[in-house]
Amino acid sequence: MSDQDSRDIDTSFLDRMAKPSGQQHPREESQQEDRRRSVRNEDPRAGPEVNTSTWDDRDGGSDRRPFGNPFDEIDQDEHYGALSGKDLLEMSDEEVIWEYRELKSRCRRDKGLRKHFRTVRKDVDKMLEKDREFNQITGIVARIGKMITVLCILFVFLGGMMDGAYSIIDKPYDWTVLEYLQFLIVMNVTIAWYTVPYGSILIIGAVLGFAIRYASGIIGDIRSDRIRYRLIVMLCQDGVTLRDVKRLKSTVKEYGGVEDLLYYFQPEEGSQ
Amino acid sequence: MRIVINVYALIPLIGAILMIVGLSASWISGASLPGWELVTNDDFSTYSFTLSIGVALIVPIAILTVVPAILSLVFREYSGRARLAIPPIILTILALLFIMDGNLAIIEQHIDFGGAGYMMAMAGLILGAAGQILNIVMKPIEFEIER
Repeated sequence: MSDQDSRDIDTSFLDRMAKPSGQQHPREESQQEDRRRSVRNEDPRAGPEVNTSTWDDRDGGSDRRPFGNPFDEIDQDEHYGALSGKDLLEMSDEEVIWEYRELKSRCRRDKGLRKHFRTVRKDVDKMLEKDREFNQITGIVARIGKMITVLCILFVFLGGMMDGAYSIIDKPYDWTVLEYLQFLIVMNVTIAWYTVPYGSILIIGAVLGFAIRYASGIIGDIRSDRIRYRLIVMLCQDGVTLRDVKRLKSTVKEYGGVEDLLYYFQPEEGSQ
Repeated sequence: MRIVINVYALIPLIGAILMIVGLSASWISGASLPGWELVTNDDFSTYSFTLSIGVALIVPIAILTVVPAILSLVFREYSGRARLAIPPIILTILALLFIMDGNLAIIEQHIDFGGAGYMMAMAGLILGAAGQILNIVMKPIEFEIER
């Protein structure tokens, strides 16, 4: 052990890992200095039963370090750097985006991982799409907006066609595709605006309906993006797909939303 | 303070600004007629009808270009930007077709397309579409400004 005593270890990482002074664990300064000294002397390859110092994280990991604590005996058996569902939910968006970028750059090098990443992303996107369509308020609003748009466009075009049908007869037969497009899009709308009763209201309704659908789609995307990247990172890191999860967990059949699924990735209470 | 700017999302924004400025600038140099006047002119037959449609399409294109660009600036990994970029790109192609068609048909007659507005709107349309495609395809280049 004498050569280990003389090891020159930079212990500044302990300060970096320490919590902000407001959340500092109530402990004497001298005790912290003791722990630093014992960390400097310990064998890094040995487990916590050999090394006396434990940089404790027993208060539930409230300092939100995503990678867990390398000196914590609870995490010794786990793959270092593995993120649990709880970690990912607690991480900020910036950190999750960093993880997602890191995953994508690893996919560039690893063909197997790339294939797995694509499968997972497709599955998660499909699941979230379903979630947005059926479960969230934005999905319902989007459907209402789409219905308004479709109905208004239908009435506008029907009315415009009926009123403008005679004008198409006057046209020469050698119309180009562009001219037909003009008639369908612009002339039809113009005719409907001026001649069809409530035509202008219908056209404004169609535009508004489209805007509602557009906006609610964006809101739904932003809401689900928070979950999307977390799920993709988590599934890729564990090397499983969403289908595996569904096969393993029969209760997922009654799956009601993303939150329920994320629940299964959270570490069990007993293991902590 | 740390500010992150996605460069590829800025290109469509610049394109949209060019489109709007180009609409209000002169399109026909001789008569110094702004682009918007071509659309709102009651007498369609004075200028090309297809040209007016193309010019009128610039406003929705500008709006539809700005939305995904701002979203990918604010929410850096916004997942729906590819889906939102499809309508403005299709409309841009249509508008370019209409404007070129009107241009070619009329340029031999009495309208001179030397106006700055025409050039600016064309540059804006191309920049907008190219920026949208770059924003989808390329890995984002980000500059971090620390203050």
